[in-house]
Amino acid sequence: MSALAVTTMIVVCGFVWGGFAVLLARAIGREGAKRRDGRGPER
Amino acid sequence: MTRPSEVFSSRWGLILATLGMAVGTGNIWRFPRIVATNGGGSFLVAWVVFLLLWSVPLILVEFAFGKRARCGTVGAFARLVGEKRAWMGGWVALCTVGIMFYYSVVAGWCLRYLWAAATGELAARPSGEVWEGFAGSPAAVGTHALALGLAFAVVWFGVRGIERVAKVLIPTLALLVVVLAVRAVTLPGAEAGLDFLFSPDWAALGRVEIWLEALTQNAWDTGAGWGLILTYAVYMRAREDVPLNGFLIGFGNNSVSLLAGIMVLCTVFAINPGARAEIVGAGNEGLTFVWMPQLFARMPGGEWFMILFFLALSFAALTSLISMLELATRVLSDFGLDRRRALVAVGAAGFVFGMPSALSMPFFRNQDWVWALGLMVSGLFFALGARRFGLARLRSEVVNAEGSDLAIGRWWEVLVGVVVPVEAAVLLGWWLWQAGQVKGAWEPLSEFNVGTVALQWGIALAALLAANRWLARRTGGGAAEAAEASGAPPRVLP
Repeated sequence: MSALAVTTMIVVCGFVWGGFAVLLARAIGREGAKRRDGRGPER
Repeated sequence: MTRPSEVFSSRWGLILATLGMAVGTGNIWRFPRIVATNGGGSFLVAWVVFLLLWSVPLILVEFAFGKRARCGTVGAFARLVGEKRAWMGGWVALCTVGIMFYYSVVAGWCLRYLWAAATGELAARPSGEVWEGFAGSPAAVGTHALALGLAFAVVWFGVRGIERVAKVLIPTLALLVVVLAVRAVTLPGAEAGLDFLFSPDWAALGRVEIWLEALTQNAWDTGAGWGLILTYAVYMRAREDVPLNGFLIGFGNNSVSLLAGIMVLCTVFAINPGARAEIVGAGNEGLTFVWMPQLFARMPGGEWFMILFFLALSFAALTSLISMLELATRVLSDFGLDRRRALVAVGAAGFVFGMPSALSMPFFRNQDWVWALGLMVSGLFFALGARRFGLARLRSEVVNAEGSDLAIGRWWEVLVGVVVPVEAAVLLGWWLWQAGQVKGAWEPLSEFNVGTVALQWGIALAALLAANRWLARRTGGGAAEAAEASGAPPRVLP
Protein backbone atom coordinates (compact mmCIF):
# COMPACT_ATOMS: atom_id res chain seq x y z
CA MET A 1 0.00 0.00 0.00
CA SER A 2 1.25 3.47 -0.76
CA ALA A 3 1.94 5.91 2.06
CA LEU A 4 -0.81 8.16 0.72
CA ALA A 5 -3.35 5.32 0.79
CA VAL A 6 -2.35 4.45 4.37
CA THR A 7 -2.72 8.11 5.40
CA THR A 8 -6.16 8.39 3.76
CA MET A 9 -7.23 5.12 5.39
CA ILE A 10 -6.19 6.35 8.83
CA VAL A 11 -7.94 9.71 8.34
CA VAL A 12 -11.20 8.36 6.87
CA CYS A 13 -11.53 5.27 9.09
CA GLY A 14 -10.36 7.27 12.09
CA PHE A 15 -13.00 9.92 11.50
CA VAL A 16 -15.91 7.57 10.75
CA TRP A 17 -15.20 4.68 13.14
CA GLY A 18 -13.47 6.86 15.70
CA GLY A 19 -16.35 9.31 15.56
CA PHE A 20 -18.85 6.52 16.06
CA ALA A 21 -16.86 5.09 19.00
CA VAL A 22 -16.58 8.49 20.70
CA LEU A 23 -20.31 9.20 20.24
CA LEU A 24 -21.24 5.74 21.52
CA ALA A 25 -19.00 6.14 24.57
CA ARG A 26 -20.59 9.52 25.28
CA ALA A 27 -24.10 8.08 24.96
CA ILE A 28 -23.22 5.22 27.32
CA GLY A 29 -21.73 7.67 29.80
CA ARG A 30 -24.70 10.06 29.67
CA GLU A 31 -27.18 7.22 30.00
CA GLY A 32 -25.32 5.90 33.05
CA ALA A 33 -25.23 9.37 34.62
CA LYS A 34 -28.96 9.88 34.05
CA ARG A 35 -29.70 6.53 35.64
CA ARG A 36 -27.53 7.32 38.67
CA ASP A 37 -29.24 10.70 39.06
CA GLY A 38 -32.65 9.05 38.75
CA ARG A 39 -33.69 11.38 35.91
CA GLY A 40 -34.06 8.98 33.02
CA PRO A 41 -36.38 9.96 30.17
CA GLU A 42 -40.00 9.67 31.16
CA ARG A 43 -42.14 7.17 29.34
CA MET B 1 -56.65 10.17 14.93
CA THR B 2 -55.28 7.45 17.24
CA ARG B 3 -52.35 8.44 19.43
CA PRO B 4 -49.26 6.21 19.62
CA SER B 5 -49.57 4.25 22.84
CA GLU B 6 -46.11 2.71 22.92
CA VAL B 7 -42.57 4.02 23.33
CA PHE B 8 -39.16 2.43 22.96
CA SER B 9 -38.22 0.91 26.31
CA SER B 10 -34.71 2.34 26.22
CA ARG B 11 -32.36 4.60 24.29
CA TRP B 12 -30.60 1.50 22.94
CA GLY B 13 -33.86 0.12 21.57
CA LEU B 14 -34.42 3.37 19.64
CA ILE B 15 -30.82 3.51 18.38
CA LEU B 16 -30.72 -0.13 17.26
CA ALA B 17 -34.10 0.07 15.52
CA THR B 18 -33.08 3.29 13.75
CA LEU B 19 -29.70 1.85 12.78
CA GLY B 20 -31.57 -1.19 11.44
CA MET B 21 -33.62 1.17 9.32
CA ALA B 22 -30.54 3.04 8.05
CA VAL B 23 -28.31 0.05 7.34
CA GLY B 24 -29.79 -1.66 4.29
CA THR B 25 -28.69 -3.34 1.12
CA GLY B 26 -27.45 0.04 -0.19
CA ASN B 27 -24.59 -0.07 2.33
CA ILE B 28 -23.47 -3.51 1.22
CA TRP B 29 -24.17 -3.68 -2.50
CA ARG B 30 -24.12 -0.05 -3.68
CA PHE B 31 -21.46 1.69 -1.59
CA PRO B 32 -18.48 -0.55 -2.59
CA ARG B 33 -19.46 -0.30 -6.26
CA ILE B 34 -19.80 3.49 -6.20
CA VAL B 35 -16.50 3.97 -4.33
CA ALA B 36 -14.73 1.74 -6.84
CA THR B 37 -16.05 3.62 -9.86
CA ASN B 38 -15.57 7.13 -8.45
CA GLY B 39 -11.95 7.53 -7.50
CA GLY B 40 -11.64 5.48 -4.28
CA GLY B 41 -10.07 7.68 -1.61
CA SER B 42 -11.21 10.92 -3.26
CA PHE B 43 -14.81 9.75 -3.17
CA LEU B 44 -14.45 8.86 0.51
CA VAL B 45 -13.41 12.42 1.35
CA ALA B 46 -16.50 13.83 -0.42
CA TRP B 47 -18.69 11.14 1.18
CA VAL B 48 -17.54 12.12 4.69
CA VAL B 49 -18.18 15.80 3.91
CA PHE B 50 -21.79 15.09 2.89
CA LEU B 51 -22.36 12.93 5.96
CA LEU B 52 -22.04 16.22 7.82
CA LEU B 53 -23.68 18.49 5.24
CA TRP B 54 -26.70 16.37 4.30
CA SER B 55 -27.30 13.27 6.43
CA VAL B 56 -26.77 14.48 10.00
CA PRO B 57 -28.69 17.79 9.62
CA LEU B 58 -31.69 15.99 8.08
CA ILE B 59 -31.59 13.15 10.62
CA LEU B 60 -31.89 15.79 13.35
CA VAL B 61 -34.85 17.42 11.55
CA GLU B 62 -36.62 14.06 11.30
CA PHE B 63 -36.02 13.21 14.96
CA ALA B 64 -37.27 16.66 15.95
CA PHE B 65 -40.42 16.44 13.79
CA GLY B 66 -41.37 12.98 15.06
CA LYS B 67 -40.71 13.81 18.69
CA ARG B 68 -42.62 17.09 18.51
CA ALA B 69 -45.61 16.02 16.41
CA ARG B 70 -45.99 12.44 17.72
CA CYS B 71 -47.54 11.33 14.46
CA GLY B 72 -46.43 10.03 11.06
CA THR B 73 -45.18 12.06 8.12
CA VAL B 74 -48.55 13.42 6.95
CA GLY B 75 -49.66 14.47 10.42
CA ALA B 76 -46.23 15.87 11.29
CA PHE B 77 -46.23 18.21 8.27
CA ALA B 78 -49.88 19.18 8.85
CA ARG B 79 -49.24 19.94 12.52
CA LEU B 80 -45.82 21.53 12.37
CA VAL B 81 -45.63 23.11 8.92
CA GLY B 82 -49.26 23.97 8.38
CA GLU B 83 -52.54 22.47 7.21
CA LYS B 84 -51.88 23.57 3.65
CA ARG B 85 -48.72 21.48 3.58
CA ALA B 86 -49.99 18.09 4.66
CA TRP B 87 -49.41 16.98 1.06
CA MET B 88 -45.64 17.39 1.59
CA GLY B 89 -45.77 14.77 4.33
CA GLY B 90 -47.89 12.70 1.96
CA TRP B 91 -45.14 12.96 -0.66
CA VAL B 92 -42.52 11.73 1.82
CA ALA B 93 -44.73 8.76 2.73
CA LEU B 94 -45.57 8.02 -0.89
CA CYS B 95 -41.92 7.90 -2.01
CA THR B 96 -40.94 5.58 0.83
CA VAL B 97 -43.97 3.34 0.30
CA GLY B 98 -43.15 3.30 -3.44
CA ILE B 99 -39.70 2.03 -2.45
CA MET B 100 -41.21 -0.46 0.02
CA PHE B 101 -43.15 -2.11 -2.81
CA TYR B 102 -39.96 -3.16 -4.60
CA TYR B 103 -37.69 -3.34 -1.56
CA SER B 104 -39.53 -6.39 -0.28
CA VAL B 105 -38.64 -8.00 -3.63
CA VAL B 106 -34.96 -7.22 -2.92
CA ALA B 107 -35.30 -8.64 0.60
CA GLY B 108 -36.83 -11.75 -1.00
CA TRP B 109 -33.84 -12.10 -3.34
CA CYS B 110 -31.52 -11.97 -0.30
CA LEU B 111 -33.52 -14.70 1.47
CA ARG B 112 -33.50 -16.85 -1.68
CA TYR B 113 -29.72 -16.55 -1.94
CA LEU B 114 -29.30 -17.24 1.76
CA TRP B 115 -31.20 -20.47 1.20
CA ALA B 116 -29.18 -21.29 -1.92
CA ALA B 117 -25.92 -20.65 -0.04
CA ALA B 118 -26.98 -22.70 2.98
CA THR B 119 -28.15 -25.70 0.93
CA GLY B 120 -25.06 -25.76 -1.28
CA GLU B 121 -27.02 -24.82 -4.42
CA LEU B 122 -24.73 -21.86 -5.11
CA ALA B 123 -21.68 -24.12 -4.87
CA ALA B 124 -23.23 -26.68 -7.24
CA ARG B 125 -24.62 -24.34 -9.92
CA PRO B 126 -23.15 -21.24 -11.58
CA SER B 127 -24.53 -18.20 -9.74
CA GLY B 128 -25.33 -16.47 -13.04
CA GLU B 129 -27.55 -19.39 -13.98
CA VAL B 130 -29.28 -19.28 -10.57
CA TRP B 131 -29.91 -15.54 -10.99
CA GLU B 132 -31.17 -15.81 -14.57
CA GLY B 133 -33.60 -18.54 -13.59
CA PHE B 134 -34.86 -16.69 -10.56
CA ALA B 135 -35.01 -12.91 -11.18
CA GLY B 136 -38.35 -11.90 -12.68
CA SER B 137 -39.81 -15.41 -12.25
CA PRO B 138 -42.90 -16.45 -10.24
CA ALA B 139 -40.48 -17.80 -7.61
CA ALA B 140 -39.46 -14.19 -6.92
CA VAL B 141 -43.09 -13.47 -6.04
CA GLY B 142 -42.88 -16.22 -3.41
CA THR B 143 -39.73 -14.79 -1.80
CA HIS B 144 -41.25 -11.29 -2.00
CA ALA B 145 -44.24 -12.61 -0.04
CA LEU B 146 -41.93 -14.35 2.45
CA ALA B 147 -39.91 -11.19 3.13
CA LEU B 148 -43.06 -9.12 3.47
CA GLY B 149 -44.58 -11.76 5.76
CA LEU B 150 -41.54 -11.73 8.07
CA ALA B 151 -41.56 -7.94 8.32
CA PHE B 152 -45.34 -7.99 8.82
CA ALA B 153 -44.99 -10.43 11.72
CA VAL B 154 -42.52 -8.13 13.47
CA VAL B 155 -44.58 -4.93 12.97
CA TRP B 156 -47.69 -6.80 14.15
CA PHE B 157 -46.25 -6.72 17.68
CA GLY B 158 -45.76 -2.96 17.50
CA VAL B 159 -42.76 -1.00 18.73
CA ARG B 160 -41.84 -3.71 21.22
CA GLY B 161 -41.65 -6.23 18.38
CA ILE B 162 -39.48 -3.89 16.30
CA GLU B 163 -37.23 -3.19 19.29
CA ARG B 164 -36.79 -6.85 20.26
CA VAL B 165 -35.91 -7.89 16.72
CA ALA B 166 -33.51 -4.96 16.27
CA LYS B 167 -31.72 -5.85 19.51
CA VAL B 168 -30.90 -9.27 18.06
CA LEU B 169 -30.44 -8.57 14.34
CA ILE B 170 -28.37 -5.36 14.42
CA PRO B 171 -25.57 -6.52 16.76
CA THR B 172 -25.50 -9.80 14.80
CA LEU B 173 -25.35 -7.89 11.50
CA ALA B 174 -22.48 -5.75 12.81
CA LEU B 175 -20.62 -8.86 13.94
CA LEU B 176 -21.16 -10.57 10.57
CA VAL B 177 -19.88 -7.56 8.63
CA VAL B 178 -16.80 -7.32 10.89
CA VAL B 179 -16.07 -11.06 10.48
CA LEU B 180 -16.44 -10.82 6.69
CA ALA B 181 -14.26 -7.70 6.51
CA VAL B 182 -11.54 -9.29 8.66
CA ARG B 183 -11.63 -12.42 6.49
CA ALA B 184 -11.38 -10.28 3.35
CA VAL B 185 -8.38 -8.22 4.51
CA THR B 186 -6.51 -11.37 5.56
CA LEU B 187 -6.78 -12.93 2.08
CA PRO B 188 -3.52 -12.99 0.09
CA GLY B 189 -3.55 -10.02 -2.26
CA ALA B 190 -6.21 -8.11 -0.29
CA GLU B 191 -3.75 -5.26 0.21
CA ALA B 192 -4.32 -4.23 -3.41
CA GLY B 193 -8.01 -3.79 -2.58
CA LEU B 194 -7.18 -1.51 0.35
CA ASP B 195 -4.75 0.41 -1.81
CA PHE B 196 -7.42 0.87 -4.49
CA LEU B 197 -10.09 1.84 -1.94
CA PHE B 198 -8.03 4.41 -0.08
CA SER B 199 -5.69 5.84 -2.74
CA PRO B 200 -6.90 9.38 -3.37
CA ASP B 201 -6.86 10.88 -6.82
CA TRP B 202 -6.76 14.55 -5.91
CA ALA B 203 -7.59 15.60 -9.47
CA ALA B 204 -10.85 13.65 -9.15
CA LEU B 205 -11.94 15.98 -6.33
CA GLY B 206 -12.20 18.69 -8.97
CA ARG B 207 -14.82 16.65 -10.84
CA VAL B 208 -18.38 17.63 -9.98
CA GLU B 209 -19.67 14.05 -10.53
CA ILE B 210 -17.58 12.70 -7.63
CA TRP B 211 -19.26 15.15 -5.24
CA LEU B 212 -22.72 14.49 -6.64
CA GLU B 213 -22.25 10.72 -6.38
CA ALA B 214 -21.03 11.13 -2.79
CA LEU B 215 -24.07 13.25 -1.95
CA THR B 216 -26.39 10.75 -3.66
CA GLN B 217 -24.88 7.88 -1.66
CA ASN B 218 -25.49 9.75 1.59
CA ALA B 219 -29.03 10.65 0.53
CA TRP B 220 -29.89 7.05 -0.29
CA ASP B 221 -28.14 4.98 2.33
CA THR B 222 -28.41 6.90 5.61
CA GLY B 223 -32.20 7.05 5.52
CA ALA B 224 -32.12 10.84 6.02
CA GLY B 225 -35.18 12.44 4.45
CA TRP B 226 -37.10 9.18 3.99
CA GLY B 227 -39.55 9.82 6.85
CA LEU B 228 -38.45 6.59 8.54
CA ILE B 229 -36.48 8.27 11.34
CA LEU B 230 -39.47 10.56 11.93
CA THR B 231 -41.65 7.46 12.26
CA TYR B 232 -39.42 5.86 14.90
CA ALA B 233 -39.02 9.23 16.67
CA VAL B 234 -42.80 9.20 17.26
CA TYR B 235 -42.08 6.47 19.82
CA MET B 236 -39.19 8.24 21.58
CA ARG B 237 -39.51 8.68 25.30
CA ALA B 238 -40.57 12.16 26.41
CA ARG B 239 -37.16 13.44 27.49
CA GLU B 240 -35.07 11.39 25.09
CA ASP B 241 -31.97 12.95 23.52
CA VAL B 242 -32.12 14.06 19.88
CA PRO B 243 -28.69 15.38 18.78
CA LEU B 244 -26.38 12.67 20.09
CA ASN B 245 -28.70 9.94 18.82
CA GLY B 246 -28.83 11.68 15.43
CA PHE B 247 -25.04 11.82 15.11
CA LEU B 248 -24.80 8.18 16.25
CA ILE B 249 -27.15 7.02 13.49
CA GLY B 250 -25.25 8.90 10.77
CA PHE B 251 -21.81 7.75 11.89
CA GLY B 252 -23.02 4.20 12.66
CA ASN B 253 -24.54 3.80 9.22
CA ASN B 254 -21.43 5.07 7.44
CA SER B 255 -19.23 2.85 9.64
CA VAL B 256 -21.04 -0.19 8.26
CA SER B 257 -20.70 1.15 4.69
CA LEU B 258 -16.96 1.50 5.15
CA LEU B 259 -16.68 -2.07 6.46
CA ALA B 260 -18.74 -3.32 3.50
CA GLY B 261 -16.48 -1.45 1.07
CA ILE B 262 -13.39 -3.05 2.60
CA MET B 263 -15.06 -6.48 2.61
CA VAL B 264 -16.17 -6.41 -1.04
CA LEU B 265 -13.15 -4.70 -2.63
CA CYS B 266 -10.56 -6.77 -0.74
CA THR B 267 -12.41 -9.94 -1.77
CA VAL B 268 -12.54 -8.83 -5.41
CA PHE B 269 -8.86 -7.84 -5.55
CA ALA B 270 -7.70 -10.96 -3.72
CA ILE B 271 -9.71 -13.51 -5.69
CA ASN B 272 -10.17 -12.08 -9.18
CA PRO B 273 -8.28 -8.81 -9.69
CA GLY B 274 -8.33 -9.17 -13.47
CA ALA B 275 -12.12 -8.87 -13.59
CA ARG B 276 -12.47 -5.99 -11.12
CA ALA B 277 -13.77 -3.50 -13.70
CA GLU B 278 -16.36 -6.01 -14.90
CA ILE B 279 -17.36 -6.89 -11.31
CA VAL B 280 -17.89 -3.34 -10.03
CA GLY B 281 -19.57 -2.41 -13.31
CA ALA B 282 -22.09 -5.25 -13.04
CA GLY B 283 -24.67 -3.20 -11.12
CA ASN B 284 -26.04 -3.90 -7.64
CA GLU B 285 -27.66 -7.21 -8.51
CA GLY B 286 -24.82 -8.37 -10.75
CA LEU B 287 -22.20 -7.70 -8.09
CA THR B 288 -24.16 -9.28 -5.26
CA PHE B 289 -25.98 -12.20 -6.81
CA VAL B 290 -23.70 -13.18 -9.70
CA TRP B 291 -20.14 -12.19 -8.79
CA MET B 292 -19.95 -12.47 -5.00
CA PRO B 293 -20.98 -16.18 -4.95
CA GLN B 294 -18.30 -16.87 -7.57
CA LEU B 295 -15.67 -15.09 -5.51
CA PHE B 296 -16.69 -16.88 -2.31
CA ALA B 297 -16.60 -20.23 -4.15
CA ARG B 298 -12.90 -19.66 -4.88
CA MET B 299 -12.02 -18.65 -1.32
CA PRO B 300 -10.82 -21.18 1.30
CA GLY B 301 -13.88 -21.92 3.49
CA GLY B 302 -15.84 -19.70 1.13
CA GLU B 303 -19.08 -21.69 1.42
CA TRP B 304 -19.35 -20.62 5.07
CA PHE B 305 -18.50 -17.00 4.39
CA MET B 306 -21.04 -16.98 1.55
CA ILE B 307 -23.75 -17.99 4.05
CA LEU B 308 -22.62 -15.24 6.45
CA PHE B 309 -22.64 -12.70 3.60
CA PHE B 310 -26.21 -13.46 2.54
CA LEU B 311 -27.29 -13.67 6.18
CA ALA B 312 -25.92 -10.14 6.74
CA LEU B 313 -27.60 -8.92 3.57
CA SER B 314 -30.93 -10.50 4.61
CA PHE B 315 -30.77 -8.93 8.08
CA ALA B 316 -29.95 -5.52 6.57
CA ALA B 317 -32.83 -5.78 4.10
CA LEU B 318 -35.40 -7.04 6.61
CA THR B 319 -34.71 -4.41 9.28
CA SER B 320 -35.10 -1.67 6.66
CA LEU B 321 -38.28 -3.26 5.29
CA ILE B 322 -39.71 -3.39 8.82
CA SER B 323 -39.28 0.38 9.17
CA MET B 324 -41.01 1.00 5.82
CA LEU B 325 -44.00 -1.10 6.89
CA GLU B 326 -44.13 0.79 10.16
CA LEU B 327 -44.08 4.16 8.35
CA ALA B 328 -47.09 3.24 6.22
CA THR B 329 -48.91 1.70 9.20
CA ARG B 330 -48.29 4.82 11.30
CA VAL B 331 -49.65 7.11 8.58
CA LEU B 332 -52.84 5.02 8.21
CA SER B 333 -53.22 4.83 12.01
CA ASP B 334 -53.06 8.62 12.12
CA PHE B 335 -56.05 8.65 9.75
CA GLY B 336 -57.99 6.84 12.47
CA LEU B 337 -57.58 3.26 11.33
CA ASP B 338 -57.01 0.59 13.97
CA ARG B 339 -53.27 -0.18 13.98
CA ARG B 340 -53.54 -3.86 13.10
CA ARG B 341 -56.11 -3.22 10.38
CA ALA B 342 -53.81 -0.57 9.00
CA LEU B 343 -50.95 -3.06 8.97
CA VAL B 344 -53.07 -5.66 7.15
CA ALA B 345 -53.93 -3.04 4.53
CA VAL B 346 -50.26 -2.09 4.15
CA GLY B 347 -49.19 -5.73 3.91
CA ALA B 348 -51.82 -6.53 1.29
CA ALA B 349 -50.94 -3.42 -0.75
CA GLY B 350 -47.24 -4.24 -0.40
CA PHE B 351 -47.79 -7.72 -1.80
CA VAL B 352 -49.99 -6.63 -4.72
CA PHE B 353 -48.00 -3.56 -5.77
CA GLY B 354 -44.67 -5.33 -5.28
CA MET B 355 -45.61 -8.14 -7.66
CA PRO B 356 -44.83 -6.24 -10.89
CA SER B 357 -41.30 -5.55 -9.60
CA ALA B 358 -40.91 -9.21 -8.65
CA LEU B 359 -41.97 -10.33 -12.13
CA SER B 360 -40.25 -7.72 -14.27
CA MET B 361 -36.72 -6.39 -13.88
CA PRO B 362 -37.35 -3.38 -16.17
CA PHE B 363 -40.34 -2.43 -13.99
CA PHE B 364 -38.21 -2.91 -10.87
CA ARG B 365 -35.49 -0.63 -12.26
CA ASN B 366 -38.07 1.96 -13.29
CA GLN B 367 -39.53 2.10 -9.79
CA ASP B 368 -36.06 2.26 -8.24
CA TRP B 369 -35.28 5.25 -10.48
CA VAL B 370 -38.53 7.16 -9.97
CA TRP B 371 -39.00 6.84 -6.20
CA ALA B 372 -35.35 6.90 -5.15
CA LEU B 373 -35.08 10.21 -7.01
CA GLY B 374 -38.22 11.34 -5.18
CA LEU B 375 -36.29 11.03 -1.91
CA MET B 376 -34.30 14.10 -2.87
CA VAL B 377 -37.55 16.04 -3.01
CA SER B 378 -38.46 14.53 0.36
CA GLY B 379 -35.17 15.82 1.81
CA LEU B 380 -35.94 19.23 0.35
CA PHE B 381 -39.43 19.17 1.90
CA PHE B 382 -38.00 18.38 5.34
CA ALA B 383 -35.59 21.31 5.07
CA LEU B 384 -38.31 23.69 3.84
CA GLY B 385 -40.75 22.39 6.45
CA ALA B 386 -38.24 22.98 9.24
CA ARG B 387 -37.60 26.48 7.91
CA ARG B 388 -41.29 27.25 7.94
CA PHE B 389 -41.72 25.91 11.47
CA GLY B 390 -38.79 28.08 12.51
CA LEU B 391 -35.30 26.64 12.69
CA ALA B 392 -34.36 28.55 15.83
CA ARG B 393 -37.59 27.39 17.49
CA LEU B 394 -37.10 23.77 16.43
CA ARG B 395 -33.52 23.86 17.71
CA SER B 396 -34.33 25.39 21.09
CA GLU B 397 -37.66 23.65 21.77
CA VAL B 398 -36.91 20.15 20.49
CA VAL B 399 -33.32 19.49 19.40
CA ASN B 400 -31.69 21.15 22.41
CA ALA B 401 -34.57 20.46 24.79
CA GLU B 402 -34.15 18.99 28.26
CA GLY B 403 -32.57 15.56 28.06
CA SER B 404 -30.30 16.39 25.13
CA ASP B 405 -26.73 15.20 25.50
CA LEU B 406 -25.18 17.58 22.96
CA ALA B 407 -25.85 21.24 22.34
CA ILE B 408 -26.44 21.99 18.67
CA GLY B 409 -25.34 25.44 17.56
CA ARG B 410 -26.61 27.85 14.95
CA TRP B 411 -24.55 26.06 12.28
CA TRP B 412 -27.38 23.52 12.06
CA GLU B 413 -29.87 26.24 11.13
CA VAL B 414 -27.58 27.38 8.31
CA LEU B 415 -27.14 23.82 7.05
CA VAL B 416 -30.86 22.98 7.09
CA GLY B 417 -32.05 26.39 5.96
CA VAL B 418 -29.56 27.04 3.16
CA VAL B 419 -27.14 24.20 2.40
CA VAL B 420 -29.55 21.24 2.28
CA PRO B 421 -32.07 22.97 -0.07
CA VAL B 422 -29.21 23.93 -2.42
CA GLU B 423 -27.84 20.36 -2.32
CA ALA B 424 -31.28 18.91 -3.05
CA ALA B 425 -31.88 21.30 -5.96
CA VAL B 426 -28.45 20.63 -7.51
CA LEU B 427 -28.81 16.87 -7.07
CA LEU B 428 -32.27 16.80 -8.60
CA GLY B 429 -31.14 18.96 -11.50
CA TRP B 430 -28.13 16.76 -12.13
CA TRP B 431 -30.05 13.47 -12.16
CA LEU B 432 -32.84 14.88 -14.31
CA TRP B 433 -30.30 16.39 -16.71
CA GLN B 434 -28.68 12.95 -17.08
CA ALA B 435 -32.06 11.35 -17.66
CA GLY B 436 -32.79 14.05 -20.23
CA GLN B 437 -29.81 12.95 -22.33
CA VAL B 438 -31.21 9.48 -23.16
CA LYS B 439 -32.99 8.83 -26.42
CA GLY B 440 -36.73 9.48 -26.10
CA ALA B 441 -36.22 11.45 -22.90
CA TRP B 442 -39.91 12.38 -22.56
CA GLU B 443 -41.35 8.95 -23.47
CA PRO B 444 -43.49 8.32 -20.36
CA LEU B 445 -43.32 4.54 -20.40
CA SER B 446 -39.52 4.24 -20.55
CA GLU B 447 -37.46 2.58 -17.86
CA PHE B 448 -35.08 5.48 -17.19
CA ASN B 449 -35.79 8.99 -18.45
CA VAL B 450 -37.42 12.29 -17.49
CA GLY B 451 -40.79 11.39 -18.99
CA THR B 452 -41.47 8.48 -16.65
CA VAL B 453 -40.56 10.67 -13.65
CA ALA B 454 -42.83 13.48 -14.86
CA LEU B 455 -45.74 11.08 -15.37
CA GLN B 456 -45.52 9.26 -12.04
CA TRP B 457 -44.62 12.29 -9.95
CA GLY B 458 -47.32 14.30 -11.70
CA ILE B 459 -50.02 11.77 -10.83
CA ALA B 460 -48.78 11.50 -7.24
CA LEU B 461 -48.58 15.28 -6.74
CA ALA B 462 -51.99 15.91 -8.30
CA ALA B 463 -53.60 13.30 -6.04
CA LEU B 464 -51.87 14.63 -2.92
CA LEU B 465 -52.74 18.27 -3.64
CA ALA B 466 -56.35 17.33 -4.35
CA ALA B 467 -56.54 15.40 -1.07
CA ASN B 468 -54.61 17.96 1.01
CA ARG B 469 -57.54 19.30 3.00
CA TRP B 470 -58.74 15.79 3.82
CA LEU B 471 -55.22 14.71 4.82
CA ALA B 472 -54.85 17.70 7.14
CA ARG B 473 -58.28 17.22 8.71
CA ARG B 474 -57.80 13.50 9.33
CA THR B 475 -54.44 13.99 11.02
CA GLY B 476 -55.37 16.87 13.29
CA GLY B 477 -53.92 19.67 11.17
CA GLY B 478 -52.49 22.75 12.82
CA ALA B 479 -55.05 22.92 15.60
CA ALA B 480 -53.04 20.82 18.04
CA GLU B 481 -49.84 22.74 17.38
CA ALA B 482 -51.66 26.03 17.83
CA ALA B 483 -53.08 24.79 21.12
CA GLU B 484 -49.61 23.88 22.33
CA ALA B 485 -48.16 27.20 21.25
CA SER B 486 -50.93 29.03 23.13
CA GLY B 487 -49.93 27.33 26.35
CA ALA B 488 -52.37 24.45 26.44
CA PRO B 489 -51.05 21.41 28.33
CA PRO B 490 -48.71 19.33 26.20
CA ARG B 491 -49.77 15.89 25.13
CA VAL B 492 -48.21 13.28 27.38
CA LEU B 493 -47.74 9.78 26.12
CA PRO B 494 -49.27 7.09 28.26
